[in-house]
Amino acid sequence: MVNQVDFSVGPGETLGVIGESGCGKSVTSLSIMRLIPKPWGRIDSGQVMLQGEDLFLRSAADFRKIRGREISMVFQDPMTSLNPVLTIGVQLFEVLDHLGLTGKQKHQRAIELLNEVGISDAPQRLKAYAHELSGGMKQRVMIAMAIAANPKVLIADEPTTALDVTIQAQILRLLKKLQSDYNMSLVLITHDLGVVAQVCDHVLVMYGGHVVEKAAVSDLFRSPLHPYTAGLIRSIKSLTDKTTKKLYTIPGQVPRLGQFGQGCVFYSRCDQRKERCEIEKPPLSNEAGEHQAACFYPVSLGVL
Amino acid sequence: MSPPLLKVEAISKSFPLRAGVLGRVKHHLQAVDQISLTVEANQTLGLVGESGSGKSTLARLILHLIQPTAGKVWFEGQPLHDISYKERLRRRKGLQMIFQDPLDSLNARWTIGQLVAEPLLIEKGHSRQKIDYEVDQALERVGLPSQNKHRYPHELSGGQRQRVGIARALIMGPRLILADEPVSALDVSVQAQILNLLQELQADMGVSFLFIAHDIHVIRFMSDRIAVMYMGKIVEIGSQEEVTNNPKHPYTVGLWASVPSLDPQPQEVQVIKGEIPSLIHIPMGCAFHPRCPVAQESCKSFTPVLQNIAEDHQVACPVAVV
Repeated sequence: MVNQVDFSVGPGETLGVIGESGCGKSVTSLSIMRLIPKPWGRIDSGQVMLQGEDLFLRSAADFRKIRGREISMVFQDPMTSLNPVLTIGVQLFEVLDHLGLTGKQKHQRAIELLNEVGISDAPQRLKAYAHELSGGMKQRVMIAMAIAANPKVLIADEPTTALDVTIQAQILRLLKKLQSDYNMSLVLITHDLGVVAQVCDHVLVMYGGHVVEKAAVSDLFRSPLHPYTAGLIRSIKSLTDKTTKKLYTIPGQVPRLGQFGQGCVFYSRCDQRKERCEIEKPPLSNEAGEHQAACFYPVSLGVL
Repeated sequence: MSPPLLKVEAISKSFPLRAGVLGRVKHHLQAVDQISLTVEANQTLGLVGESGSGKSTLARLILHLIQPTAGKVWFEGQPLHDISYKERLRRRKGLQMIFQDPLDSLNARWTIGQLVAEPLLIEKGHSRQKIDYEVDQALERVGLPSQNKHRYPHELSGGQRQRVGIARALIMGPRLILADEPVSALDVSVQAQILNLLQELQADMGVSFLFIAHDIHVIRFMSDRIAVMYMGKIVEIGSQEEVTNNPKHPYTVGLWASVPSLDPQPQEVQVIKGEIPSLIHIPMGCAFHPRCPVAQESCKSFTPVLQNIAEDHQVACPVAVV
């Protein structure tokens, strides 16, 4: 499903992972966390390095000390991620138990955490159940749990997709604030190019389980190299441009898994394809330093 | 002057909330509050607002899928209220709906052909040949090859499924389609295909849309006029140009500013503070005042009404208008 995905995030940096549904964004993050359900899925090869240590060499039991502590995760749908029959407090305490806090300390820290994610009236909220909170509040609680252990890396998988734009703006602002307070690396998985433009430093564009482009945010929007990225940006720009009469679209649709040919994953939808693309898989190039694209015939500058 | 295609007058819906052993009505949830609007032929009215603002309820009230507590609806000059169920079925034939998630709204055990033919089967009295012909026509119109007729919804992609939803609405030859978040569940590249399709259908068939979405770019692209809803009320309504270029209500301004821009230059977004309050305890006065950046003392007691501020532009905020 996901093939040879390579990336790195520095401390305090934000990496955006963007792509359409089914492109492998979430599988990538679940792989890092070793949360791929067994026996249906497995990680065939690869390394996850945290501060120079290969985490995949650790045993499953040992990895639990890392998960949630060093690397933490916020999921898309806070409605289904919180347990409906336990109070917010109980669920927060559970996290804090693992960190060795007890009694009063635990209570104190829970209230601190809720304050930190912008939930007012924290002592009361600890007694609330998930259904008593709004979507935005629930996501704040999930974030509080994720940062409880001071993680070095926070992976946020579509954290604002289920929320209204006004609440999305609040949550994104909160994530950025926490990131600088805790000096965390943030990996933000999203399908929204606007979110990437506003929040991220670097971007990974995924299509059909492959990374097709890697760039600094400003480079990606100024001069996308891969035809898929260019098409994606063009279709959104045509929607936001007030003079557009007909939207630009990428023809066709994402092939189903297993229907990708041996060549380039984007071959069936690409408007620049040539013979070579059908038989050979283009590797990530190293065109302009940090800006890389997996394409034999990258889009030239100024096409947008 | 001929009457507008759709006219809605002061429509309201409050849901009684029961509690206790006796199931007595304890509270009322005011989902839609005194909304009036019109949609002209060959026109699109966009309806935008946060979740819980009453957009979907309004669409269902217009169709009388939910019975309004008060208010009137006329379609093609004829009332849809105060008439028998049978009569309503007949009159609203020209009024169809497209739903958000085609996987939820299409019966998984029916083939695409059966799903698209269903409206004609309900109407009765059509020959098998006529139905087949109409189904093929509808599928062709929405850009789905007719060999898909024998497939099931799960075999199609999200975009194709939404095309089936549109074909189902089209087969009755509607004058007005209520589209409730028709592209929200779709990926960007597919979303653009569906929006283009809806625009083409309007150009070819002259069908009108009441188009509900929460994405303001989508609303702007689709609409001739835009209505902004907040807590069951329209707070701003007007021509697309006026409402997008010259928004006046503080809620509209904040909503527009919350949308992340594609320009990677860091921008200081003006975040609307707080969240939409409970519809059971709607704030007194202007419902938006607890979140409003320009709220004054009078906003806590005075309930604003829509005022004309330009040709085809009405705003329900006395503070913003002066």
